[in-house]
Amino acid sequence: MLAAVAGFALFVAAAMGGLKLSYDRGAPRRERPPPRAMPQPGLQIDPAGDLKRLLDAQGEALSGYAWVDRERGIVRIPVARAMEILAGRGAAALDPVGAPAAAPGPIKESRRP
Amino acid sequence: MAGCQDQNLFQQKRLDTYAASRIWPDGTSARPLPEGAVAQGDLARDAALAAPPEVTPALLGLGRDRYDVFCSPCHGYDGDGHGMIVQRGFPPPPSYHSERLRAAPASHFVDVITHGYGVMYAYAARVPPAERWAVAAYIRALQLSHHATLAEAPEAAGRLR
Repeated sequence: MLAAVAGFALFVAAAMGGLKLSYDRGAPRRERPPPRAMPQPGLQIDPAGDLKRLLDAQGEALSGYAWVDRERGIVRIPVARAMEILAGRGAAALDPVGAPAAAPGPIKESRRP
Repeated sequence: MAGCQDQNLFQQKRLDTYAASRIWPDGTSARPLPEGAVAQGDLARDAALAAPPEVTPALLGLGRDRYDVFCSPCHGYDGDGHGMIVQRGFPPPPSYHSERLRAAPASHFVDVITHGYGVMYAYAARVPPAERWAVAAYIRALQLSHHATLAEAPEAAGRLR
């Protein structure tokens, strides 16, 4: 009886060892991909702060005076002041900006066909 | 409860959507618009689109309001094309402060709002024609604010270092 149990255990051990050898040989060797740095998550972690920074930066660009081109006398002015200037121009307000508008009596292109 | 077993309320005597029909000669239950039909208000919209309105402070204020609502998410509040959507990865639109767009006629902006341009879809359904001209006028104000001459804004001379 004991011999039968021992023989069975030996058979199981031999079978498992043989299977492991067989699988180790037969299975394709898989190289693990090298670890790489993951990108930062594409999330907005502080939406309110992002909006505040945007509004601050762009609000600054819409207010105050600054030189754009000192040699040609081009300046940045607050957009509220630009709206005043445009409202004072009347029908010419929609004309291109930066064109030589100072010359009197030019032939205006028709703005709209 | 016996009434619930009755299918009369589910099977109404009507034509289903896109169902065929023999009532009309074209064999469809949907009724196409008659030839030459015009939607109510179409002519007024076309007229408002064709004629630029007078540029007043009220129009510019309306334009600023509409611009901040509809345009600034992509074009930015100052029109340089770096709005919040762009900072989240959307392709940036061109800046209004380029030579090309400063020289563009105002009708170009109205056309782009009406029909879209590039990845920008048409805003015709959201911005009525009069407001399109208001936005175009405000874009002119944005351009002027970044490209004014000392002759146009003489008070700037005292405030510049």
